[in-house]
Parts: sequence; C-alpha cells; structure tokens
Amino acid sequence: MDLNNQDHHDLRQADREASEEYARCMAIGTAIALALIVVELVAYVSGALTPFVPLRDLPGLWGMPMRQYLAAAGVPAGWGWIALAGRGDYVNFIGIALLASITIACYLVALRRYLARRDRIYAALTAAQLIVLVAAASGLLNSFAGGNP
Amino acid sequence: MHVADTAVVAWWIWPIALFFASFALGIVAVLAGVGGGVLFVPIVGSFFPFHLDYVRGAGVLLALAAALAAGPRLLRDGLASLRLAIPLSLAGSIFSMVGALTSFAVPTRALETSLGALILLISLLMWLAPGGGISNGRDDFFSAALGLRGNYVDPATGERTVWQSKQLLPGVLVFSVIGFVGGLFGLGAGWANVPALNLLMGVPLKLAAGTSGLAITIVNTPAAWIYFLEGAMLPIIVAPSLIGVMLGANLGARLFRTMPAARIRHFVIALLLFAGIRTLLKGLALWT
Repeated sequence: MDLNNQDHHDLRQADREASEEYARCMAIGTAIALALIVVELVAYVSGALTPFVPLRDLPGLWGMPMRQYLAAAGVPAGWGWIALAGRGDYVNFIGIALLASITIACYLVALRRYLARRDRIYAALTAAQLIVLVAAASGLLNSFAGGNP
Repeated sequence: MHVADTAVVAWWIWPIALFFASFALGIVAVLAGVGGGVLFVPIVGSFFPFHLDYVRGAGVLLALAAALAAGPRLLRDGLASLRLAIPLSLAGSIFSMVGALTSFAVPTRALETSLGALILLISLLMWLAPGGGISNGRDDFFSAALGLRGNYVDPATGERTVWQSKQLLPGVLVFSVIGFVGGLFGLGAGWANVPALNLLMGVPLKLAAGTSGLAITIVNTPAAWIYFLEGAMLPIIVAPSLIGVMLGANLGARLFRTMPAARIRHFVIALLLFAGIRTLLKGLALWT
C-alpha cells in the first residue's frame, strides 16, 4: 500500500494543522508549568508555606533509598500527595504534575485532529498512546514496581 | 518524624550548588548537542549527596522539560515531524515505563555499575560518532503506508530538504530499547535517538535532532509519572535543577554561534568519562 499524490497533499495539510495545534498546546502548557514551578519553589524555600518535611531535616533524608525515605519521613506516595498540596514541599508537585500532563493534553488535541481528518491509522496510534500515558498517570501501574500504590 | 542523621552542612548549600551545577550543565548540553539528562544523572549522582533514586527522578523530568521547551519552535519550523515521532514514541514510551518500573526492583549498586558502564559507552560513541547525513537504509512498506516522508526548509541555509523515512520496524525496535534504558536510568535519549533516526532510518540529521526532541517529550512522560507517583521526586532536588538547566540552556543557545563547539564537545566527553568512571567505581564499592 502506498499513498498517491492527492493523499499526500491531504496528509501534509493535516500534518501541518496537527503540528501547529500540538505546538500551541505544548508552548502554553510548558510556560504555565515552569512559571508555577518557580513560584512554588519560592513559596517553599522562603517558608511562605510550611513544608511537611522540615527543610533542615532534608540532608539527613535525601541520601536514603526512596522507600526508606518515604517510611522515615512519613510521606505518602502515589496520588496521596494531593492531601498535602497546601504544604510548602508538596505544593511543588502541582507544577510537576502539570508538566507531566502536557503531552496528554497535546495528544488529545492531535487525536481530535486525526479523527476529523479520518486519518484512521494515526487516530488509532494516538489513542493507543493516550491509553499508555493515562495508565502511567493513574498510578495503577506503580503496583508492578512492587512498592507504593 | 525521626531523622537519624544530624545534618553537618546547612540544608540550603546543596540546592544552591545544584542550581549552579545544573545551570552549567544546561549551557554545555546545548553547546555539545546532547540532552541535559545524560549529563545530569551521572554527574549529580556522583558528586552530590542525593540518593540515585531522586537523581534519576529529576533526570527524567529535566529531560522532559527541556524537550517540551524546545518542541514548539521545532514543530513550527518544520524541524520535527509529529507524524514520524508518533509510531516510534508509542513503542519507546511503553518500554520507558517498563524501564522505570524495573528500576525500583534493581539494587542501587547494580544500577550505579550499569549506569557507569553505559555512560562510558555513550562517551565512546560521542567520540567516534560521525558527522551524520548517512542514509543507507532500504525503503519499506510500513514507512510508505504511514506516509513518513516530507520536506523542510533549513532556517540556517534556506535550503529545502526532501526526506523519506526507511526501516520503520527496526526503528521501532531500537526506540523500544532506548526507551527502556532511558526509563531505567532517568536519562533523556537524544544521544541514541538521533543516530537511530539518522543512520538507521535515513532521516536527515537536522530533522532527526528535532524529531528526537519531540519524541523525548512523549517517551519520557510515562516514565516521569512512574517516578513521580512512586515517590522518587524531591522538590528540593527537582525544582532548582529544572530551573538551572532551563536558564543554562537558554544562555547556551545564545552562546551557540560564538563558542567553539568542537572544543566543548571534547570537554563534555571528558566530563562524561570522568563521571562514568566515578559512577562505575561507586557501584563497585571501589570509590564511595
């Protein structure tokens, strides 16, 4: 199977539109996430928001393996951080989560474009990728790491 | 909360040092044409007191953020192909997730030893790497069926280059392996994506570099979620390094035209060699 010239012309047009929308989504998401991370870091280290784990305790903790740290500091893994999002350290996770969600949002944009263009193969590939991304973001797969839910 | 160890050094010394180290890494990463993660993980893992779990977590996010920041421009300039990145990234992202999940079952010493060996291999590849532009693959059914061809105008020269991808299935296989390694060690994958796209799939070097960056935004996303939800991200490590690398990369991009890139590349190779040896010996408990 190969594509004829008209197919290729349509494909190029669809690609251009998908790329432009994808780029716009990525640019907006990244700018917001990075700005948030800077603001949240300032709120954290300035003490404007009290951290759950005191800053002075960190040098005694950050050399520990992850699971040992989680137990020693009494901090949650998985989506448990949401309950602590008002604390200086965990507020930083909002920006991090947003940064890690940008590709999901951009893929939704691309999926809509491919569906509109009836590009079935790319709509299927994009949908499959979305399933992978959402599965990772759900935290359900973390149980396979033998650790934290 | 009980903390056994008493901090000898004030807590704020290390995040500040990390910020400046990341800033410097951001500059040299751009000048040497490598991703930030491949420098960040071995160097910070070797010379800072943080456990490798958090350094890997920060490395994944850092590579993701840097690629996200560069992505929009590359897409708009036509120097990255979304159509080419989508099938390769689907395979890469599944295996990056597997790599990230596997990494928490591997003892730290074994991770350090294999990371050290990998970094030494990367520095060797960088030393031996050809200038690019080699395209000797065969046309294939799958690339043609997906319409993996196009053209772009190089903004530097104004020349239009026509391209057609080849050997899609071997490319998918290689991206799966790269994804696994990237997820396992928290590295970006530009060092391997670009040769795979250029040498294996016959994609012109400039488009290969741009598409590699776009692929990193997709491949690193599930790995980032795995590290994040597993608890391997400490804000005091992630935030200063992220901000430092982004600012450094920005300055690096400005210096790009005036700095002797070849000399910087040699410096980075030497840096990687040193960090690789250090990480390897740390893993083997010969230099702790």
